[in-house]
Amino acid sequence: MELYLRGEFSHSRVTSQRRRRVTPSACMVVAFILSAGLMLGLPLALAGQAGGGNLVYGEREAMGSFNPLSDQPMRAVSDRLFSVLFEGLFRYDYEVEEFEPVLAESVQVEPGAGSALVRLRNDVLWHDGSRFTAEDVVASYEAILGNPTHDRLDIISLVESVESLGQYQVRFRFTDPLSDPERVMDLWLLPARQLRSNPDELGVRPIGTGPYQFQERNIEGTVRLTRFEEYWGGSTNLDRLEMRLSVDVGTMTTQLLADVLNLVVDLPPANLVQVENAGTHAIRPYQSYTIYTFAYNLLDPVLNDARVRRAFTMALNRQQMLNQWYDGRGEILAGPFVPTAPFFDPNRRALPYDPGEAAALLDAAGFQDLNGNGIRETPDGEPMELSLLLPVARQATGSAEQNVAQDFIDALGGLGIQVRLENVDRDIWEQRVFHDRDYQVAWLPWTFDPIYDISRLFHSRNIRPGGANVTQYANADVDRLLDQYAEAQDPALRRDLMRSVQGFIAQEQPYSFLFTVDRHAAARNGFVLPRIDPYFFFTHIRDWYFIPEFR
Amino acid sequence: MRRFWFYLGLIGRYLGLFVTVGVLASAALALVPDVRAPGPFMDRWQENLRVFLLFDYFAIDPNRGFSVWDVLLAASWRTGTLLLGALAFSLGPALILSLRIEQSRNPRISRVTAQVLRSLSNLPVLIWAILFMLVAFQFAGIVPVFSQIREGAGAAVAAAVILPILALVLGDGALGSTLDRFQARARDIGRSETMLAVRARGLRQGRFLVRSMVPDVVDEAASKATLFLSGAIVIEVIFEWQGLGWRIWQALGSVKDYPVILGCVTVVMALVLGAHLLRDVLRAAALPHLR
Repeated sequence: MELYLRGEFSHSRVTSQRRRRVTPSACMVVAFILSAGLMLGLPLALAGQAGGGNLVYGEREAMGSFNPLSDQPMRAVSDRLFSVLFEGLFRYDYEVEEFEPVLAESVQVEPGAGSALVRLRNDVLWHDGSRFTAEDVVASYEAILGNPTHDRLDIISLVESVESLGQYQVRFRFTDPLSDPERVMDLWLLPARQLRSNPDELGVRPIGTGPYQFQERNIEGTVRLTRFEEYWGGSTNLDRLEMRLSVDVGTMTTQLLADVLNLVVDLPPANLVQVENAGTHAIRPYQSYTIYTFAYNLLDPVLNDARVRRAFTMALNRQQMLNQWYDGRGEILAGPFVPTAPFFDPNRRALPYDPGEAAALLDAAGFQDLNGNGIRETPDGEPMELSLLLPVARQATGSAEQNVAQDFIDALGGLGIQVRLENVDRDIWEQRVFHDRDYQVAWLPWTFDPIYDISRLFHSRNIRPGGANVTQYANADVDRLLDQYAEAQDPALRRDLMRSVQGFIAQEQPYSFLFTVDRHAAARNGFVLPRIDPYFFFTHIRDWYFIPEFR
Repeated sequence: MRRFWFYLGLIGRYLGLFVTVGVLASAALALVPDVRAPGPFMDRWQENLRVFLLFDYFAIDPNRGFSVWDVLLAASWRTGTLLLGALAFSLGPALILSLRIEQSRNPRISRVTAQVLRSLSNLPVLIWAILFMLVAFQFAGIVPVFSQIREGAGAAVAAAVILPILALVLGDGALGSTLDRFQARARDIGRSETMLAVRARGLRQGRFLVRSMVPDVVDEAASKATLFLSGAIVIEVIFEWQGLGWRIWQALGSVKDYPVILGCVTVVMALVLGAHLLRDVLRAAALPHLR
């Protein structure tokens, strides 16, 4: 357009004097009318879908390495793609609450459960066409066991060794007897040859056994996967899966409404209304297995008293926080389990919101305002001051965290406790909470994977730096119950053991458990998602499809 | 020979400035705690300096899938296009209108157009960007994001190219200030004694007017390039125009990408200083007495 206008201008200079006077201004007017026309709505429809059976979805963060065994932190964006690229020996099925075999054909737990014999499927191909064998399982476990900083090590370290017994059979040996060895067998597997020769290449060009294979990742952060025709489990409906990066939630929502995207996996509450009002898209709420908490450092002299922590929880109006900052879309928690999680105890009630009782608990613990200045003193006579560590919010969803943190400060202020907010970068927050334990109170959302293993958070063996027991909670009874749980075979016994653990945790409140927030996927009408995996999201992608007239 | 030394001195001055700012930026980035590259400040500063001075950006990082060089190249191209488009759409109309107002006997349309553009230009870039995005979507069903340039058709492609540029041009008073400057300068030149002489001799006034305004245009282009770079960050985020601003914003996300941040800062610095160097060179060429 710019060149066209310039051409007109130079042409006009060789014509009449009058035309020379008028044309430049006219060009300007025409240019702006054209631009305004574009803005104000030339009635042209968008181009249609990229093609039948192609699912395009939006993410707010770029994909990192494609190697699931590298020591990058577990992130939802990566895990979602990994779940269609890679497979493990077993996978947890939320509906039946059991592990189902994937690349394993059968598992035989040996007497004492100190080891297990796993027979592998013999009809599985890697995306590069080579055959999946026992050697790949051994190499994958060796890779993660040799990486002391990997996020999954808390669980995988229960494996002492994995040995190959022929082409399609492996033996797992465990450090302690395991009643459900499948829970250490959901590790995504990679081909041994590439893993041993060039693991970095797997981070750029992944090779798995999943129903979709890697096609390309471009510089804009778009990742394209295509259907793996040789997939052992048969065909899938969608031809292609495409992830597009969109750092602005508003723009992503607009792209969804304009069918540039077919699906958004996690739409923030603030944008839900816009999509709901449009009426062209279906909103699918799903339980996320994410819990929001304030974590307490139990080695802190003020916070090592359970009465203080109970008082803090009772001072927080959690229902109001949920209503005000998350649009009421979630549920208040009494402990670490969300209502849809295995071993959730429906009879356990969350501590009530009761500032009066909270104040009485603090008085009983010896934290009183003796000098009448409005601030409680510790038994040593020091003013009761705490710091709250919060990662800096950047996205729209992050502002809710800031508001909840402010509510915490206000609630404790009402009890006569001064709380200083430490807003730090997310990296620093992770380092201080997970490695240095350099905090008093920290905002800490936990997202559990399908195994929902709370022993990571509460068993004293995970107090180690980098371990998930960040509150440094140590209770011999809880350790014993968790160990018994790991060894128990009987589901009823396991349920009872886990409910006992929840009783201890509710009593001692190493965290203030706040609430779980529903997640919402939004998909255009005509795209059918019979099942959504609450964690990996795409696990059941093989059943998803476009109704033909909507393609 | 004098001319050679003059230009060499000019380039040296800007190169010195570039290195100084780069060294300071490397130090500033080393001050930010990076848990993935812990260590004393001096070690991290040295590492940043090595990357900055040796332009060590070519290794492919599995976490990114591309080298920093690839990322910078793609981002620079996009930001460069946005900047050039914005410069053309702001300086061009402002110059034409100013000349028309000064030369025409009845410049009513030009005056009104200039006044309207000046008024529109008072809104911030952010408001224009959101407004364009909403209006394009609500009235035409178009989402003018960058990916439409490749995958869209017709109006969607045009909107994805033009609307970000228009938002940048109209926002933050950029066009208004350019119009003010050009109009004032054109008026000064039009009333100058030299212009009286040109008229008296019956020579072509327009040609003289345009030639006299070249230094102002160059000057304005350099200063507006800096302003547009700031606005480009907002534009790139909203319109998903994955240039340097978008890259910096994205690299500051939950997974920090410090090499990309340092690279983007280096390129932005090079663009700003390059624009100013070009301005000085062109001014010196056009006005020999400056040498």
